[in-house]
Amino acid sequence: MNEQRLRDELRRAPVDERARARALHVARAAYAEVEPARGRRWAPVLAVAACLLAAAVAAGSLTPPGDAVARWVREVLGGGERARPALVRVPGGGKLLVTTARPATSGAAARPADAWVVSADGSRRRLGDYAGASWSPRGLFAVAWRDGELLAVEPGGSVRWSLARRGTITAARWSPGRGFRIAYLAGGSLRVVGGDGLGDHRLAAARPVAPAWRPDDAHVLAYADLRDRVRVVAVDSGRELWRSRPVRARVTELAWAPDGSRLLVATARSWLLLGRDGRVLERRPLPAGFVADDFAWAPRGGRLAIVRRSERRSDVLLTGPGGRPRLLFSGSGRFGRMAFSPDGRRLLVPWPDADQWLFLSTERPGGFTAVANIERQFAGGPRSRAFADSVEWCCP
Amino acid sequence: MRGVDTAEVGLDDTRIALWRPVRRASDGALVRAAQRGSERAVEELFARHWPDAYRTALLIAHDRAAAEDIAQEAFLAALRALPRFDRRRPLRPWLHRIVVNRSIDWARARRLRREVGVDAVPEVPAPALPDELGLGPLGAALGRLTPEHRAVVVMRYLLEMTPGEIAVALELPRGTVNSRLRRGLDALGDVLEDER
Repeated sequence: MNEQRLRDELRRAPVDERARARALHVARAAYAEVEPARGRRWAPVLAVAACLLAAAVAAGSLTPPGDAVARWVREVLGGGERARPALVRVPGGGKLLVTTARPATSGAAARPADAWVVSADGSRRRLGDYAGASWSPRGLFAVAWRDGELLAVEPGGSVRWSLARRGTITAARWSPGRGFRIAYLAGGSLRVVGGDGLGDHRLAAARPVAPAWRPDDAHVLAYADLRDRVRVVAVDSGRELWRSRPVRARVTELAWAPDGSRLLVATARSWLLLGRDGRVLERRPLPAGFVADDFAWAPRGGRLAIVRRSERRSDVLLTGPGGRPRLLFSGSGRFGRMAFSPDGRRLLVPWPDADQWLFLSTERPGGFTAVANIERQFAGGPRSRAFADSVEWCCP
Repeated sequence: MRGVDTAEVGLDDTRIALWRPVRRASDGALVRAAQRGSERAVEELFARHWPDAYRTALLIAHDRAAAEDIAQEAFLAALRALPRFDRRRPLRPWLHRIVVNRSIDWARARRLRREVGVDAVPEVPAPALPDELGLGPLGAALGRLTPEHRAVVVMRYLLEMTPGEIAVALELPRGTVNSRLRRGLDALGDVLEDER
């Protein structure tokens, strides 16, 4: 046995230069956080800023002049220096599945770029150039898609299986519970495939709205048909459990409450809450001048977060126990897709205009953590620009 | 100029005296500089130790993604511990000890996950695609060893640690380290001889 040869062979093990660059970036950011003098210098500023913001929110002053407050927040907290410079840990723990979008250029909308996984310690791993991705129920895998391809990938990036279909694939969602089914849209059809990549079949024609699995093991799926009716079907038997009357406007979002008792049906100008059997429980129009951009159910307590947008600003609202929404945050421009932390105590709101992620406290009015330089952290290259505007938060 | 030492030479260009040769700062000096707030010292420590940390994790865990995570986590752990790090303590063995132990843990966990079968991982029961690590026949032979044996071989022949240092790092009797080394070398010997 030639020991020198063994030394030489081991030393030839390849070093991934992109991994090295990513790790150096994370190390720099972590060092910026642990360096004690810097933390002390900003601590009073952050405390005062948080108190002022809390007071502003409590006083309800974030409406028309809210932009000024938002600008102030951005300038004082979020100019890039005073928000946290990098995501070196996920506040509250858990892991994030992030989809980035390249900024819109003149005449073209924002384009999807990459999917990433962010671990609790803030370390990031690029899954690949996927247009979108969604967690499996326990975060062991993600389902990702691009063009006409659907893939099951491990959080480390390894592809477990893939399938190709005609038409562009979008909005894949893994069934809850034991995760045996995946529903997705392809070329105007709603399709379902097993979690092992087998048994792919067409279920129905559907609007381009992400289908919603009822949160139990029964494989019950809600989707919007071509007449904007909400249909709820038992996927394994193909039996339709109920369908709604046509909703008066185009359905934009469907989401079951975590206890499966209510189904949110959103349109641009209003939202409905339907019962498990399809009865209308509540109908809420938005104020004039606002459109609904995003909704998210809190994991517990039946609370619903809503992003509404006017010409100048976007608001994040959270419904309370009585269903009455209160303002959590207001900012200029548009917000990305929000995500609740697994314990429901934080709400992550991507804010492209400020190049920040906000981790809003759902318990402490005005409490939040801002993380800046999101574009740079998810760029995937020195000259690339992509904002991480869609997030799923999984698994403590 | 007070206290110009090897740590400062090469770390802060403004303090380099022109007539004085630039010497390579020791790890201890770099740790001191990093504790004082020098980002360049952190970058130098990173440049010095990250490649071996990554290689070590790759050779033990046999997974690129895991290797990146493990090496990165080890550095983050080091940076978090920086304010209270004992400067007299050598950094390199401390860092590589974290890498090796996390790599062994990761490889063990993966082995256990494979053994529990499909029911425990119902989300995707399909088999993994082959992973090409670019390690060649030696990599394949290493892959047939247990993570514990791989660790000892890597610590001895990549990190150049003595059996005594390995025993301390892994909290093993020295005899166990020697026997694992012997067994590992026997297994790898065939590969290395065949390739000649």
